[in-house]
Amino acid sequence: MKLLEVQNLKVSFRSRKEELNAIDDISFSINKGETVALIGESGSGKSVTSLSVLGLLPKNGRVVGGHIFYENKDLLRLGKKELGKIRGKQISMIFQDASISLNPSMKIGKQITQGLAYHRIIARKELKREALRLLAKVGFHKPKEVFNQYPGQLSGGMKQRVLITMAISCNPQLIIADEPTTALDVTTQKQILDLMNDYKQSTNTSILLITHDFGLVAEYADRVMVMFGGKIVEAADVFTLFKKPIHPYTKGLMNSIPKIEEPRNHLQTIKDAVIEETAYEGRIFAPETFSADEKVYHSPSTLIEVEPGHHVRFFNESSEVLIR
Amino acid sequence: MRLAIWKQPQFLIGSFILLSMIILSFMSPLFFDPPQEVKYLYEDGKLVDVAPFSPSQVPPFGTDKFGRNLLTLLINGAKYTLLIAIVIAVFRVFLSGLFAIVYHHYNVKLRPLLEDLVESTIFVPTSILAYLLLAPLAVKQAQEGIGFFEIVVIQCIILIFIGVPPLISIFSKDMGRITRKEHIVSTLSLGAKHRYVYIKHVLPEMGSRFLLVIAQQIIQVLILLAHLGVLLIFLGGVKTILDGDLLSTHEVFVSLTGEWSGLIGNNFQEIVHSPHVILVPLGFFSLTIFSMNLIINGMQNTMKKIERGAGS
Repeated sequence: MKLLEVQNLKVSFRSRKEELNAIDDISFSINKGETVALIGESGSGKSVTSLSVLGLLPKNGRVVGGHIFYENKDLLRLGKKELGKIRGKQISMIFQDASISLNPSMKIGKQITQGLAYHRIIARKELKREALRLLAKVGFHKPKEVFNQYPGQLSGGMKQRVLITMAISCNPQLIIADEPTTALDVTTQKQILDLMNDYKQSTNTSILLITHDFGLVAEYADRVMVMFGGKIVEAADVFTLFKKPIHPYTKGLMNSIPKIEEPRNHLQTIKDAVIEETAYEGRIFAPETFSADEKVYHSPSTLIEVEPGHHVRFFNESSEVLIR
Repeated sequence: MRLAIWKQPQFLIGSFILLSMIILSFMSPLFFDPPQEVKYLYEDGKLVDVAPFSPSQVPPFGTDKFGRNLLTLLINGAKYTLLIAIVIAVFRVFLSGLFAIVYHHYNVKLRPLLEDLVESTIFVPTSILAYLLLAPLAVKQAQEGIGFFEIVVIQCIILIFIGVPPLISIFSKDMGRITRKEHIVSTLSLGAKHRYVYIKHVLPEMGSRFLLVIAQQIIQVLILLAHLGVLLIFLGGVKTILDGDLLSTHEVFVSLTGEWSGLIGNNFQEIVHSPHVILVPLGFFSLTIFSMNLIINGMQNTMKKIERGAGS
């Protein structure tokens, strides 16, 4: 059952007098209880996609086309009030850097109960008890102490747990996790992701995991979408993508991961020729190995289903030629 | 902030000086007689000098050109000068804060145009603008007579609104900076309305900034009052007293409240022969500005410490 369905989403940003495309014709869906990973390098449009879902684009950004259906309601057509009722309560978000995502001058307890208080899910006098319960649930051994502390008094991992507490406080059906472990050390990363995974399994919540770490994708995602230059270039279930990547960019990303069994002097990088400056610091991908002429780069691209559930973006319809 | 500020010696010293002047001013009737106009100084029945008298003749600060003791006048006028400056500064910041919320939140399309307009007003000398607006009021008061309370309110409203546009621009930019912070987006992602965000996040974060700007505005208002005094615009309006010499007298307008700018304005022509008449009120202005600067430095130190603490 589809919980979220994004159809042909296009997002652009105003920069001086220019209109720059950040997201170009993105389509994907997330089923109930599924973890879908959105992977790509910085500037590929992952975070913009997630902010579009919640209607939280910066003031200079706007959705110029497409639909975002959540339980058959088009979020892009909802009024501010209706969207406000969905944010936090139905769809919540875990941000990348907990040190800046928490108000430094507000006590943790107050921040955790914001969503509960706003949506009036429980009585005001019950807020503290619920906050303490949630803090205990995410692994704080002394929730009362944390409740009265300020973010500056907590470690990075603890702050990230607080963000998770905020995100799950209203029992949302979908959690968007925007690189939730990037700012953390490896041990804490695993704790945080295990925590999210446990929560997901116990509540059948869906997760949109935004990351640039293939390791996390392999361990926690059910399906993967690879983004580049504001487009999804490849999408498949996690096993298919790791076993049989097709798009040169996906292959390039995977080859960039250091492998213990293949000692090399230098890490492999994606040697892409810069063909065309596009919106939002993205580039149209054109690797050295991608032997196509310039005309091809500028041709319209389409996602083609090469096998059931495995979509790859090609620059023309004769995909076999370009794959070689 | 509330507790940490009291640990700042600069803030304490500045506050002590300022409060001492205001309290002393209110209590002055207990210690000083109302200033008498003593224009002539006689020794052994002979006229030896005419006001203004120097600090050596009438310690500690001498007299003004009407023969009134400067110390008494300055202490008496301190409450009007300082309280009016504080009231104007507080209202400027309060109104600018309110307008800034509206300006920041709603005027997306008009903002570049409004910002250009505000920017252009910043470069107009405030004292000239204030003079142009207040001078007709002074004329009207002289001709028709306007009540003390009425004229103070009108003058304050004019002085408040002169300072509002640049502050709206400053506060609006501050609010823009705060609302772009990730913790605000995080709050919005929980479903909070913009009103909630302003009340619970933006305004508390702006609180220390507001206090700092109030302190800066007090200094600006004091400087503006000093300039207006030179241009013979006195806060609270004017009263007439007799001036002249033994042979002929005439009525002159002097400040009704005795606030400091009035002293500067009334005695400005004495600047060459009796500079103390101008320098002493200016000294009091400087002392007030110095104490306000101490308060501002104390506040800034506290804010820096808090920011460092929050970031750790």
